[in-house]
Amino acid sequence: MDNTAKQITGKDVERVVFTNKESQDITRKSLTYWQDVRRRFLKNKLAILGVVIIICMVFFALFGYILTSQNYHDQDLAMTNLPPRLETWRMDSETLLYVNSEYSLYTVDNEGKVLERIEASDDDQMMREKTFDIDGNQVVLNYSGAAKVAKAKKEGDMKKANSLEAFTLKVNQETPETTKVWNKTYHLGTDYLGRDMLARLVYGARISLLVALIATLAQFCIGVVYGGVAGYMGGRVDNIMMRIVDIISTVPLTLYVVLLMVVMGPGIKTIIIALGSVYWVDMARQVRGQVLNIKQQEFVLAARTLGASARRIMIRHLIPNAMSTIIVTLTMNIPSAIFTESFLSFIGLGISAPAASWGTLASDALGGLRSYPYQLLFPSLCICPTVLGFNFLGDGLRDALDPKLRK
Amino acid sequence: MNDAILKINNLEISFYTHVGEVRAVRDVSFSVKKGEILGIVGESGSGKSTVLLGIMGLLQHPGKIKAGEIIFEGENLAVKSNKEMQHIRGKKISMIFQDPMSSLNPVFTVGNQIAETIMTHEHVSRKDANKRVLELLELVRIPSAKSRINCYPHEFSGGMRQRAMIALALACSPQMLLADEPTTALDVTIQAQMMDLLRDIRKELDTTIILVTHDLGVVSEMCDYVQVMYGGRLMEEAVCRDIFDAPGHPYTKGLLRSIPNVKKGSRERLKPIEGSPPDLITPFDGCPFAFRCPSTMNLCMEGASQEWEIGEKHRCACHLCNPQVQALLKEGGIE
Amino acid sequence: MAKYILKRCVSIIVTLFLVCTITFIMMKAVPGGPFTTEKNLPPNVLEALEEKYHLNDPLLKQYVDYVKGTATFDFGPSFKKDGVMVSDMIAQSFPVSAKLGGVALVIVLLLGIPFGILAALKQNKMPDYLATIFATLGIAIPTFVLGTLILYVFGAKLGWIPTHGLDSWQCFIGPSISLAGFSLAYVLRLTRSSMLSVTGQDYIRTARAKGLPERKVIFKHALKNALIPVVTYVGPMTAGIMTGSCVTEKIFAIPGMGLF
Repeated sequence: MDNTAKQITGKDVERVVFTNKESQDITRKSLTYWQDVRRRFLKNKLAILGVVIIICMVFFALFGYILTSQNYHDQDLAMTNLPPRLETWRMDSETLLYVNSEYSLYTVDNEGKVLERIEASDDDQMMREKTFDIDGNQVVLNYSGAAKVAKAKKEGDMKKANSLEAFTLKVNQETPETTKVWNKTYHLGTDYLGRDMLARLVYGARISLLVALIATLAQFCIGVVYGGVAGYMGGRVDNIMMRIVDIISTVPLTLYVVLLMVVMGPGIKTIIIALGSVYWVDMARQVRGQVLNIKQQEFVLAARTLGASARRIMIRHLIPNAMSTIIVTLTMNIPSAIFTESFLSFIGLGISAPAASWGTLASDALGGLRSYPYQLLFPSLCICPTVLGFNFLGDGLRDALDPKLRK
Repeated sequence: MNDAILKINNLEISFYTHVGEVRAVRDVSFSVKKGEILGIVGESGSGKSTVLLGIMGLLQHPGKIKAGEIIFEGENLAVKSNKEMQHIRGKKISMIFQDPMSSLNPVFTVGNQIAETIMTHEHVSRKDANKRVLELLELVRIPSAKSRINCYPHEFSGGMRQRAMIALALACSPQMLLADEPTTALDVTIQAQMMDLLRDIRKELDTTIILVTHDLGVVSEMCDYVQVMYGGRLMEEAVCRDIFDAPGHPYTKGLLRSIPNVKKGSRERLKPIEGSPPDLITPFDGCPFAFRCPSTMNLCMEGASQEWEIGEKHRCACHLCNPQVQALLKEGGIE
Repeated sequence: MAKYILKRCVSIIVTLFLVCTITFIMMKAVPGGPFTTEKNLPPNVLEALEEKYHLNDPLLKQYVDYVKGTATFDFGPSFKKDGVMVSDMIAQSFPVSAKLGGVALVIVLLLGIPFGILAALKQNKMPDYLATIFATLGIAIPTFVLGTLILYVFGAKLGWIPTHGLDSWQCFIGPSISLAGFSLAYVLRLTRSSMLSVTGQDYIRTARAKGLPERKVIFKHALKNALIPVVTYVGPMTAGIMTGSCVTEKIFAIPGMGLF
């Protein structure tokens, strides 16, 4: 080695004295458990994304109404199924015309505000031609092509169906130029009863977050205490309490909801009670398992030897040590609660009209799916990111709280 | 050194983690003679287990052998593929792990797991394998071995599991046995039994054993030859007695001082080594012990020392053992 | 083992009995009966109907009959469709649901487990990332959204698959995929994470140290342990697929159990 070749001088054998700082530098700074958790959590980009999504959703639910002038329950049967992006024909310099899939004609101003539905002055059923008279302009709408399109679709020839024109529009005998504008009255369009989608989505967000809150509260208030008591008492008490949990969890949720629905009538109250009475079960099991585990550890025995009361042991020793499990179970169950609510609403067991949840919105969209896919798109675009967000948050918390569990 | 069964030359093992390269083993060379028991001593994180895993070719991702040779019976194991290693692992070299609780697969019976090894390497029938398993279990002194053969690991006590692990390791009568802290997870009485067992096995089967431990007591009882590792480097190696009687390295001295003395009347306090083990992730080419050593010199910060011969078969990697340094120190009047 | 199975069977019977009882009590506690409609029926018609459905028997007799009937799979006549027995309705629609659920189950197991293993073995490499992205999306998309998306894109827009019924094998594609989606993603995730945690275990290192071929280490020693949580999940999952089927059946207009 090179040391042998090197001539060693007196300087080399001088003693090195370390200052405090130097020896601190060589050992890494130690962090408390929660500092470490925070550091690990903040490093996880997906978890941060999850938090951002959830915060956005909360803002959307709280202040979403600012974006629209409409109300979630106001129906306007003249304004049904208007999409967010209007394909319009120019009538004159200030007015655009929009034709919906039922061949009704709407006037739209330059900015995209929907003005009104125009009644046909003449409707020739034989020729499949509607004539409108708008401020002296004669507008002729011929929808005789619609039958051909329908036929092509029935034969499954989508290419042909897409190439054919279902209707023609003429203003004063001329084909006007077309433009696309964003719907400014109903930013996300309207549903089959002419209700504003955006307002209903905001309402749906409130429902979903409310459900998330209820599930959290039920888990925390019932699940943690129940599981904690069962785990701490052990023996026969534990046995009986867990059998009860088993029975509750074997009955499918749908059945509970149906039964509750029959007793209490459909509505948000029923959903909340149904979710609240079921969602603590998983938490109770987890907490019990953890408590059973921690209870056997020496520090609990030490506390007991020192004469700590059962309550104190529970609050000071068992719960804090089970905290990581509690937090992770909590966040992991929220998306499943949101899921369940939308699922129940979708099959018609949840929120009833005029109230709306994302599930009912999606369910309502099913009927007109071919013509108005946007009605499904928006609720889906709300559910998926929210569920994703909570999942990311849950994964991030699990990794941060218990690095051993990281998979 | 013709009778060396295993010879390791300048072995370097690193873990390439996301925070940087951790140099777990640095420039380690040693050799083991046939039938010898070599002890490797060091605190946690000194790289002693990593050396064993490196020999077995069982380094977990992101660990890698960066440089060096592991010559076993004339073949370099360091460059062998995983497939080639499969014929050596369990057959010629086998390993006993630290924690017998988790080292046996919970879903297979103990007998099954031992028989599997025999069948993999020796292509014998299940029946013959089972016969051999019975012999092995008797060899490691598991009581009523016949009825135990179909037990699952969780039905065994800790000591029994470690016996089963040893039986598993001996299944194909390997030339060499690597024992990674085989007694750490067991209580003291069982520890003594295990050590007796290992010693008897060496006597009966003439197996070479490398025993990794942090228990100096075990080392003094068991080993022919001892190596001290610290911070991924070999600090000192010597015949067992010499390490205890005439330690050369300040780290070894520190280790020996921290053994409790139970001699009658001794009211001395334990002397721990100040400070904590080095963080191997920070690149540092000096002596790893420099930050805790009572006699650190500028030289120590610049580079680790080579190994100096300080006695018969006694080598020590400390600058203090360099005759040049000793001369200079004497000149300066510092002890 | 036999004792354990017996114990579980008893607890299943007890649970089913409790469910029956609770259902019965709640149905009776509700004001009104199955024939309470907006237009009031003449009293004599109502009486005749109640007579026919044994609704005017004493409560206790009704209950005993009900439990007896349920135990022998005789659920009585349907209140909704005149002259049709509930058990016949189930007999007719159950095979449809079961077929669909079976196909979905096969998809889940045949894709979820192998790809989960693959992702775990190629941790932090391309296949792993793809599988993880797929699994994360699958968990976040509700069945009804996935179903309607498939229906809209592949059925209505592209015309690749039929949009209703179960007459040909192509009909199964849409509903079974949408039915399988969530469980597939979950099983994949579960298999991956359980495989990852198992391959880090000491006994896998022991298996390698024994000189076993890698194939045997993974497929014998690791898999047998890694599949334990997956198998535990498959039970409730099967039930989930069956309840989830009512959404899929609604979307794809399939005459299964979910339509009632």
